[in-house]
Amino acid sequence: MTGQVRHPGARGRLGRLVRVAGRRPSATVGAAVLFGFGLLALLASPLAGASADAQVGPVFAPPSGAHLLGLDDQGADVLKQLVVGTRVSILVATAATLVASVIGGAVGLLAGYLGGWVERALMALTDYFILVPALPLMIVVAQVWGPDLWHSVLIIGMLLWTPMARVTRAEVKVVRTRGYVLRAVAMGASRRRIIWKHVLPQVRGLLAANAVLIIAAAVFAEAALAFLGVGDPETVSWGAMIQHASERGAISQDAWWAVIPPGVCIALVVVACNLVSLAFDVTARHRHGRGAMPPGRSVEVEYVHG
Amino acid sequence: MLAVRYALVRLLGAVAVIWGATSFNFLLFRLAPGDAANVAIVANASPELQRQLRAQFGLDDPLWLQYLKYLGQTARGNLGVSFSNQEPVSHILRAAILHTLPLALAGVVLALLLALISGLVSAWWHGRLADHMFRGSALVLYALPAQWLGILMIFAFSSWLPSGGMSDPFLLDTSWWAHATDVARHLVLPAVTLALTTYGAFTVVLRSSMISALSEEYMVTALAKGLPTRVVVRRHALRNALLPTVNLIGLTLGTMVGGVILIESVFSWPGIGQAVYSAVSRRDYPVLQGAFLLLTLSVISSSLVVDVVCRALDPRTRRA
Amino acid sequence: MAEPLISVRDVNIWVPSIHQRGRTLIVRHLELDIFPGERLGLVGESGCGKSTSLLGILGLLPGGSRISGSIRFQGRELLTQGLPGLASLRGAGVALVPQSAMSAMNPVLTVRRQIIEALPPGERRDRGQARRRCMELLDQVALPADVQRRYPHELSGGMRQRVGIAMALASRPRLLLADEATTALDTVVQARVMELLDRLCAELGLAVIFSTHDLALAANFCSTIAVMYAGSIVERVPARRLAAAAEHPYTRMLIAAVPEPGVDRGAVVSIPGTPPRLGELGAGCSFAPRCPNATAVCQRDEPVLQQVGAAMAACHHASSQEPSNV
Repeated sequence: MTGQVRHPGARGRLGRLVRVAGRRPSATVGAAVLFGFGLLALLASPLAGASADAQVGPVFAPPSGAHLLGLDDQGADVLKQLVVGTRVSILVATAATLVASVIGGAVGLLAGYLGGWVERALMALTDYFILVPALPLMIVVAQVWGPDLWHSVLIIGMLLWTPMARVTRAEVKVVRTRGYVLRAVAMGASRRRIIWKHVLPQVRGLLAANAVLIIAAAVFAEAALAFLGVGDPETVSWGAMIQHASERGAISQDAWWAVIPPGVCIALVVVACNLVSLAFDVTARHRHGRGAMPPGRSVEVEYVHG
Repeated sequence: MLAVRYALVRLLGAVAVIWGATSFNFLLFRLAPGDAANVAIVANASPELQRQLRAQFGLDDPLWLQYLKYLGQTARGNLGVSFSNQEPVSHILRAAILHTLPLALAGVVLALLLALISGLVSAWWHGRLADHMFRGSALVLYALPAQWLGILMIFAFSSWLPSGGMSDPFLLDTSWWAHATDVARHLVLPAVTLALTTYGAFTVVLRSSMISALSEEYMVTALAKGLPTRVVVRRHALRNALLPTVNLIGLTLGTMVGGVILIESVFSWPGIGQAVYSAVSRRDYPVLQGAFLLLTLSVISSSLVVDVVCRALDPRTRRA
Repeated sequence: MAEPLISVRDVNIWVPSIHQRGRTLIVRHLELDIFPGERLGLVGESGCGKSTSLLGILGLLPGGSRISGSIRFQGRELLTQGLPGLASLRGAGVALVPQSAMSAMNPVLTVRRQIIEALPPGERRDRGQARRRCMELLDQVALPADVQRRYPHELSGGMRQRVGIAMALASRPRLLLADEATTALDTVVQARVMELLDRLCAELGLAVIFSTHDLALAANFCSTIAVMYAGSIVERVPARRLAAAAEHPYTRMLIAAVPEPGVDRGAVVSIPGTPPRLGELGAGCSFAPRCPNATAVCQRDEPVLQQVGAAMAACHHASSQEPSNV
């Protein structure tokens, strides 16, 4: 194979990113928030680590100068728990997203490229997982399998891949008809090589955009599983914090500081993910119809004596 | 003819999914670590129960026979017996799902109302401040974990509205009306929580389809007839925009189930979500699996109904 | 002479720009007089402002637009009352004949519903009366009564156009605004519909503003032709004198471009260049960049409409034109 096949977008990706950031400041904010949480997750151990679980005062003590977010149901510093919980929640969400992306991406690639009965079978499988309500399924599997962090990761990952599969398949079907792919096929390249070298780089961006949304869903799912008691009882995550607080009487003792912070973190991550994914969204501007709508803005009328 | 064929195809698909879910339940139970009977053995299970379970699950039969028996049982509505109170699972769940229905309905109706308001406002003034505010708040609320919002609601409103259960056990007035109002009061917080955490998705779709509908040519034609703007928007734009939104309900039922489970757990509402919650804490596998099956069945049948209704309502798909 | 039915003077219309903030001037110093029963053909290429002019008369402009000037209908000045002034014409004296394209009618409502809602409020109240009127209108446009139960996507283009005409006639208007009314139809169907329109307008004494890019079609149907270019009218000439009396170079080129059956010109005659983008108009005549006779004065000063023989043309060189041999 002589000559280089120039994939559009292979160069200037950084430049494009900067332009996108400028066009949509909300996405930059979102990305910054996610980056901040990621950083916090990485630095959690040195920051709070060892002493996070230690009881440093009475149960459900309100916020004070020493403990900005008060103490939780075990007398531990809520802020420290929050930092540690960040690590677990982000870790679980990212890992689950990775699993979901691999499964969803693979299903989408194979279904889109191979077509025929493979596509039909894979799409039937996808439809099955879309129709079956996710949370009950996760609960059942988690209950039977046993509460464990990695079990949670795998369970969440194995149920959140469906949107990725659908979108990838649609895109692959389009890419499959592009010039460089057809040329590679004509030159007798193996299917595996074509998928890996030509198709995959094209759908990478789409995978990334979707992955961001899956992170949001994964954070939600982790919190739900923890709340219902099928998460890992040993580890502290945002979801677990909410569960502990509610289970051990935060409501009756009006200890809002034990409940609010982890929820705020979850909401921030989810909103940030949505903002970032909007930047990838290339929706056509709604074209102006032939007149009249919407009159949210009024029409100025001026009489000029003619 | 085309519509009937479509409905049949979808029905077949639904049956396939139910079968898949049932088989999955079967496999899961068999694949659980340890012998199925051991998993089933709860600390205080009587020998009576153990014998019943062995017989029910036919644990001494070959696997394929167990499978067929299991399918037959499930098809007849026998979902097993609860570990915790020896009652038939189907009885427990039937009562539970009847309690969930008013909550789910109230939540969906409220969510649609909220979506209607925020969707219309956002579409009418799209690009302006009102759009950003309404759409933004819808999306932020959508990002809140349902259980967390439920707890917050309790914190905020516990002095005015009941925060647990479906009715007041100490209610003195036993008239039907008093009971109904009591249940209604208990319904407020959980239904509002459900609505707030789900209406975001509807808002986005309604806004988008409204903006499309408003910029269609037939809007100009309709306005040119001299009809008041309000009438034109309602009859021409809104009617067309509602279709994709109602369709969305069918698609998001699975997600709503998750919300219902979490909310019922927080508010101790005696519905199927609460049944799942307590089944988990008591390791009551038959109830858990029965609930999963029942929820799957509900979601599928509801989305099927919504899909068929949507197709029937849209004249474009009625004839070839 | 009777008073004009509608009188438009020095109307400018600005429409919000699509790709940037602010507005673009789409229609420039529009001036029209339509007398009862008179038919005006508004001819021009796509994007020259014909649609906006028509819709502007009814106030059907996108939010954020601006219209200035004077529009009098049956002697009453409308622009002094703001948007409601223009809106008062809708379904009350002036009616829009929509295109036959499917997008011009609501796909989820029956034909009957869409015709009935076009009736004046008084005739809509009684359902029986409304239905009878609907069937009457369908009969007028030569459509069978069972069409009323159908949906737009079940009708052919020609049928949809007739329904559009029925909707317009429902409010018993005095003036029809036909915006590219038969454009999407094929020639045979178009001819039939134009025949129908011709007969109905004559029977009912309707005035029409007929906008189209098809000069020959307009010349056949209308009594006066107004040629529009880059947002303003560059020529106004009686239809039957079109070929002989047209003075503006653009009009002449349009006439030359009309294919004549049986005449082999050897090549497709077209007008070189493309229409200017509205909002990017410079000084001087808007047609100058494409005009073979353009001189320095054309680049500098925008010409105004002046009487040249039987026509009114906006061209600096109109009166000095040689008899055309294009």
